[in-house]
Amino acid sequence: MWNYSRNLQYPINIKNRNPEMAKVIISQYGGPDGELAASLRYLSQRFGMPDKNSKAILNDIGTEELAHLEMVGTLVHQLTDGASIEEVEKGGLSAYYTDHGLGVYPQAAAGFPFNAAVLAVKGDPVADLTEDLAAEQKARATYEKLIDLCRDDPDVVNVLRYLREREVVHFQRFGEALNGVQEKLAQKRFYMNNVNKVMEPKKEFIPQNMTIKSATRNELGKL
Amino acid sequence: MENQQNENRQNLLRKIMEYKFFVNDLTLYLDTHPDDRKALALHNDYVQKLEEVTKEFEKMYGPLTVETVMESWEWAQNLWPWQRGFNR
Repeated sequence: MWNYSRNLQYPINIKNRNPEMAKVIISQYGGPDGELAASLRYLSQRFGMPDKNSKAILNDIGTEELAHLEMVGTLVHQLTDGASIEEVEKGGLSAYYTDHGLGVYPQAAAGFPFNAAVLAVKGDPVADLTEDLAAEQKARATYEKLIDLCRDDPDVVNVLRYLREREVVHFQRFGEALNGVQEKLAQKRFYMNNVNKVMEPKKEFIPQNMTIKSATRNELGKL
Repeated sequence: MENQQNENRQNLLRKIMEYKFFVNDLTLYLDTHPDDRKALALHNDYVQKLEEVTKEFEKMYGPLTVETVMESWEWAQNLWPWQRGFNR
């Protein structure tokens, strides 16, 4: 379960309202490379992880992404809170305002609502961790585009820079977890059993499309 | 006086966020480097510092988690982190 802590992961204090910025930043709330997708991706994939390190890292990064979701929602909220109808129109937020008012709805910058099809759970640790590496890079790239678009407000840029940096750290940790999983999969296995009996390898360690050297394959028995 | 109070609150809150950040970042590192004793020592050090500063903050400015003994229902009275004015 999760406990709520009454603080943001990084302080946010937006002094100038700007619906135009909110309109693009919301993509990191409910868009294809956003924090909602990230948290759901990792927290769902963790159930299928084979070793201690990968279980832990998916659980803990998935949890941090929930904190980032709160931060992005806070940015959108503080950039729009109290906006007049003229500010909404001028900021290009009329369409959003029609459906959601000044609430924070998980959608992409282009307007389509959050869709779980932007994430995958393959039940295959190599496939899942490789997707996570790409996801972190896409999120990093998205934050860089947002930093360009929001360059006029240092209060916003500071927060986006922090979030961008976290994607870089997560990419590093996922790379280490993937290395660990691959090492584990490539290990020779010895069974202290009757050699005539074919030992079924632990299914969870063998993704279906993993290439296993023929020598190892013999020791493992029929796959 | 009120300004001073506010500054003190912000300073403590900033420290809490810093220590929580250290603990979180070290947690991720330790997840993939579980045998790194130096990182573990750092983690434990920051957990202790976080506990101390959290106690100090909560005594003066209300609970940070709901698992806190309260005299009145402060949990729902205080500002939430997403509200303007929570961080200054």
